Amino acid sequence: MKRDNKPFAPKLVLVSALLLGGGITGGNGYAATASSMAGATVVGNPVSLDDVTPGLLVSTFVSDSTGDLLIRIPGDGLCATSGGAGDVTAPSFTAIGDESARRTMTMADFIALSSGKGTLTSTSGRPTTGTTPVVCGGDGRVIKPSPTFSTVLVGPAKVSGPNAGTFSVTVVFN
Amino acid sequence: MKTNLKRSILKLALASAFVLAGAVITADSYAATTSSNATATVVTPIAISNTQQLNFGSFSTTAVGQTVTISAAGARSATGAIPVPSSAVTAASFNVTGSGVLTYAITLPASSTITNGTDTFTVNAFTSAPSGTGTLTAGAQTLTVGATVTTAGTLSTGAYNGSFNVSVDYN
Repeated sequence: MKRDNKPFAPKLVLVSALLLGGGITGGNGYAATASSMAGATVVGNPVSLDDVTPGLLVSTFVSDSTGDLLIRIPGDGLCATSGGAGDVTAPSFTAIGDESARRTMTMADFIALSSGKGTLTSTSGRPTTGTTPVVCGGDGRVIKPSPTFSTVLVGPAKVSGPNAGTFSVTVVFN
Repeated sequence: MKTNLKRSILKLALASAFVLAGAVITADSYAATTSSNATATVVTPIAISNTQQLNFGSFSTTAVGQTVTISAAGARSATGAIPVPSSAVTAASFNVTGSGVLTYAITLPASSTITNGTDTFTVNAFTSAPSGTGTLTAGAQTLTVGATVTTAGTLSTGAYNGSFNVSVDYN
């Protein structure tokens, strides 16, 4: 008659473990596993600018003195100045991108206005670096840059005549 | 003849007696006994639970093979793909519990996937903090896990979801 030793095997293992004094520390049989969700959201094309319509940041203004001239251009494109007065029109841009993403429009690299008669220079070289958050409601929304402040320096002497410069607008995801 | 046989039997009996006697003496002379303590320590089984999912956030992608990586510390970086900065990203977080100050081995998956039903992105290069081996403090430790997702398929937009497993085991 063949003897079946299987029922005794676990007991032997257990006794050995106890005598070795290693303790029941949860070997492979006590490994624990947890699951985590992983997620991502893919949005549409990266935001970009298209249909750029160059406009005049400052069309005309009159300064009655030299020195700092503060030009504020609110989001509606209307002008508010300090140290001078004038009219302002804002160029418009078309932002292309996924409508679910908020965008920040950054005014940067405002190049000094200049003319043959004088120079409107910036105080820092990049006077128009204000950042204005713009929330676009959908693809292809026309937005207008609205720098909070534009500070230029009129001088060294009061001059009159056309001055022209350029600036760039960057639209990035926010 | 009969006498010789008796003598032979007697000799054999004597010889056997000497042999047996020697064996007993030998056994008794070299017996030794000592005792040993037997101890055991029962510890709390190690356990792990997920407390925060791995979230790569929102990003746009224009090509297959672009990546977004979330470090175990929860920082995001990207190659090719353009993340939406305002979108929240998180490393996965787990609560590991067990006994005292025991150390444990961390096993991360080699690869996993997330899908939006149309496309499937591979998630791999899993990292963790702590890395490789964790050490419980007062029977607990927070384990965070990051990974890299790689774009694939038609790059369709939408929410991608999947899951992955993390295992821990006492060392």
